[in-house]
Amino acid sequence: MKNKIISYVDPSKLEVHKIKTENAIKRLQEKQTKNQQKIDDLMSENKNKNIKKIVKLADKNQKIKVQLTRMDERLVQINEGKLEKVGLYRQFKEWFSRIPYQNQKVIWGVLFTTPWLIGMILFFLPSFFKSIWWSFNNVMPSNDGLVISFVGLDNYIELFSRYVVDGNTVFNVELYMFVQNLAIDLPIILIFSILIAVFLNKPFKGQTIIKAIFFIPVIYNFTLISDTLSKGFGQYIDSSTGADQMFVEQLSMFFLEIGLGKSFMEIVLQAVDRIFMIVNLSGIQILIFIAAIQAIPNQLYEAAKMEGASKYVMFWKITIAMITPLILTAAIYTVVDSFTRAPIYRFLDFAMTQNRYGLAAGISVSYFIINIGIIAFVFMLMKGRVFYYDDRK
Amino acid sequence: MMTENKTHFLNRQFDKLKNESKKVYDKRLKTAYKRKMTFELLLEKAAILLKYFLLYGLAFIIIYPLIQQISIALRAPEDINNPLVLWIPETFSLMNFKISVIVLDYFNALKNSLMLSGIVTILQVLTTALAGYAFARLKFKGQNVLFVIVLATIIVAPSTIELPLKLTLMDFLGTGKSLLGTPMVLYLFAATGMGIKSGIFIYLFRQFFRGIPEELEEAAHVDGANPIQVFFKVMLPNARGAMVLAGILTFVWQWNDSYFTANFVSKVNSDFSTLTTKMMSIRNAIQGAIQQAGVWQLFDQDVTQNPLFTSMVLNTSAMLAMIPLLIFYLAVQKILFTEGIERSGLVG
Repeated sequence: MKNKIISYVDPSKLEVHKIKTENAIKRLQEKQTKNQQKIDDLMSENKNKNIKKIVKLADKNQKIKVQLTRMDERLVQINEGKLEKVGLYRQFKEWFSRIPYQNQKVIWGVLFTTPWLIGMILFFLPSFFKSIWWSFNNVMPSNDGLVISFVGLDNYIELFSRYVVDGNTVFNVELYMFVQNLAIDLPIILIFSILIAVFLNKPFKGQTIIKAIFFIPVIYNFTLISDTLSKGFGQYIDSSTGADQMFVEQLSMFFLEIGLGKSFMEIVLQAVDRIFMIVNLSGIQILIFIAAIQAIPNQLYEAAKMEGASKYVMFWKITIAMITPLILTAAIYTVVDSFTRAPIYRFLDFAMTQNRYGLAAGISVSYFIINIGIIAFVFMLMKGRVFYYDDRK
Repeated sequence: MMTENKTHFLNRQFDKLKNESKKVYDKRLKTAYKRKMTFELLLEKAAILLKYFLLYGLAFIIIYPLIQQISIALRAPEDINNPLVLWIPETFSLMNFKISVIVLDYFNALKNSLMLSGIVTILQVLTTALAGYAFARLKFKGQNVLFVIVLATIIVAPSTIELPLKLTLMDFLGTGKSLLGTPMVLYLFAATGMGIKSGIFIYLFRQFFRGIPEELEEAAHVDGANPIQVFFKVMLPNARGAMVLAGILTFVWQWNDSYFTANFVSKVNSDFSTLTTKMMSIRNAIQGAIQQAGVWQLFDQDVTQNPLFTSMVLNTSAMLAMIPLLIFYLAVQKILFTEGIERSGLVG
């Protein structure tokens, strides 16, 4: 045990403290009697109607009572000539600990959110609304800052009707292509990552190594890697080994021979062609699904086994059903992520170099709206099928 | 003699019985149940085959560029046009590494990268953990609206708010001081929860803290702990998994980030560049960068005029930029898998 040295207030100053405390006691007692008076009045007036007020006043009186006992203790200390000296920090601490636990939680909640709140108020909200406002304006830099003139929907009309970059890339065509690709990629990425997560979850030979390798895409720098693969030396090696063409061609021949439809084949071939990209885009999703699968309680499988369910049924009825909320999360992550890597950012850069900031804001706002639209669509699609294990949430 | 006959007879009887019962047994199994079992067995075998094929094949696809890069990096510049060399270089040479180190200004950029990623990681994990805990457990009025804004920060692409944000930073808080061009900007973003994908981490921490049983907190409260003690003594020690995951992802994303770093720091102040931004900038101007590095004169013209030579240097630089990250990942991947994923809050 540590022996704290208690420092006492100088005896000469005790008189001042005594007067102060006595005054405080007097004031509190006055308040108490006043409140009591009010309570009595209300009681006699209409008991049922004023019940809330009465309870409030009674609460106040209770608090005053506690304060009075504290003051009395202080008075006793003063009379004994041993008043403890209390630092500012300790006073604050004592005052804080007297606040009810729920209110303390609120205070800490606000304090904990403060850093983020500052960021939001300083950086996010003003910039976001400014961006939206700019998209309805013509914004041009000049010698004395930005010149902003209202043009209504002109930016959007130009964007979707006649905005062309590099002479031949049209905005709405590129956008359409991007959304189409996303529509193909999204289910492929989701199915692929669920499959891989299921496979990675069960022990097999070389699991640790393969698991480690599967998350390397998370740390790959995608731009640089695809540079290596598609340009310069990588291409040189690929073309000299024939690795780039052989497999896809063989596969397409095979599909044509077994008589699958051409449109179906194209989708499959596109997917095969982009397998590297798909693997690279699904690192986080695999992580999400592994966590989801590990969270499924084991007794569900045991019960199903008792009932004679096959593994195939168990996969569909338990594994997939239990990870549906996470499928939604993963789908949203995929959409957001693919928007940050979208090739259509070229338009944004181009508008920036042209110094047409209004148009650039228009482009980014339309990305945002399309983004929300796709997410809403995915959400609607999944809504009826999402299963929550406990409705508490 | 007698006994021998007897045993013989008994054996025969026994065999007969056995065969009979086997027949019945087989017949019974030739029902739907047996067919189902066989089907399932085949399915399982096929699944295992598919599994090994897929996992090992894809693992190869993932590390294929890495192998390629290593093979290219070790090749001597004089061997570019040597048709005999495809994967394993004829003469091993570290020349490419030497050139890349000069071109990238490697050790300076490495120092910047490490400092930036490290500080940003610490700040971001702290802020997002605090905010996530507040959103999960410390409820106050209006919090739901704030959480919708958190979700909005996830969805809004950083480029949407880039330009107005730059204007805000140029004249920070009306002091006329420009914050652009210093790594301070990124620290500020990280500390105020506006950094790289901060929204996702807030969401992750919220989900995680919601998963910790409330009884734990109540018990601590009954024992006289105030909310901050509950947070630091009960919740944080339990949140190691989530913090490890958030830390690793922040570090990696910050390291590979060219958007924030380039737009807010490197493009304004060319003295400060991380490995990634340096890599991005020399990607478009590799010839000039090599010329500036003063290694142009060391080789013959048929080497320097070859477009494959620049590609080779570029490859090696990309690899050099990634190697520290790869080492970091290999060092922490065990922690990531043992406690990162299972209890990381990815699942509410």
